[in-house]
Amino acid sequence: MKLSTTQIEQLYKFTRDHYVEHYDLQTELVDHLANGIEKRWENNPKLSFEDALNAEFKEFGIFGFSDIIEKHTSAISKRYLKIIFRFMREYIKLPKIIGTLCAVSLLFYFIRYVSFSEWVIGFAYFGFFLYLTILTFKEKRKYNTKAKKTGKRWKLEEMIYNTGYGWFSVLNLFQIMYHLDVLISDNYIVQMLTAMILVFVMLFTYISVNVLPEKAEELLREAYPEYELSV
Amino acid sequence: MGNSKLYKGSLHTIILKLLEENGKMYGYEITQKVKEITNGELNITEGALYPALHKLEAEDLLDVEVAKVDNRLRKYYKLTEKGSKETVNKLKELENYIRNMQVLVNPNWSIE
Repeated sequence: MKLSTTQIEQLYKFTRDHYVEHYDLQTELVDHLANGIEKRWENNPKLSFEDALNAEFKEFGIFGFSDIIEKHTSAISKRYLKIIFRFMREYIKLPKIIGTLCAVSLLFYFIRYVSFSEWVIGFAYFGFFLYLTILTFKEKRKYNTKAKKTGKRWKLEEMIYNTGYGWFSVLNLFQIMYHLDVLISDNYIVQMLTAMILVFVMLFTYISVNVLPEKAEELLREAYPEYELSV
Repeated sequence: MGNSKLYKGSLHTIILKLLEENGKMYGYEITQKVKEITNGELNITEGALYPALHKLEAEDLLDVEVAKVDNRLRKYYKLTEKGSKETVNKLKELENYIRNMQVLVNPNWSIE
């Protein structure tokens, strides 16, 4: 005996009720539960759908889906970072590397020879920070509206629209620069490193905040073969 | 996972080896196959299998394919080129481990 479409829908609801938020993971678990239930029906055709489902869910152990959810998140984070670095590699290859080198040199020159450069950088940083706040807010709203409309949340998509990594790097860098007084150092090695790190962080942020959301659809199709089938 | 913690470290190798032999497989199929091969001795739990599959996928060792089967979507896993190479390494590693353990536990034992 095979499961009906309504029962499959019930399984999706079951995973959602057990805190599996994302459609990619829901789909995999639904198929697993469905296979398990059908196997149970082979041996005992009189078993009710609910009893079969409960028995199958017990196989997942006392923690249910929680371990799977947690590890799924870390696997997707890894993929997300890999995607960012894939785009970043473009900037250390010709032709874009010319621009990268120019940016580093200009910034180095600016830090070394322009007085009050630390103030300019500080203010620029603050402006950047505000820009990020507004952008993140906007992207997040866009994602929530879309997720509500389609009823499906994809983990990778959520990460792309949360632009979380961009934020993280910006905040951390600020702390480091503030505590180590790198901007007022006279040592040219420190100044060179500062210029390089600033360019690196700007690139990282630019890619995670601007490039990835623009290419979200394409990246999702690449990561999830089921995306096409479910849209 | 399974009957013993000893199996846990070999889960990735087990998955890679199964995929090498069977081409593409889905999660439930893997648990059943392991049960069948070991006559029910080894039971891979879902809580261990899926995280392992997702990790191998994130490391580009596995590729996924989705097909509509009956009235639901099924996710299949298969080895990538990198995954095939890693399978060879992992199996060699496991063989060495077994050999060393045999010698340690039973010094008179010989592989010949």
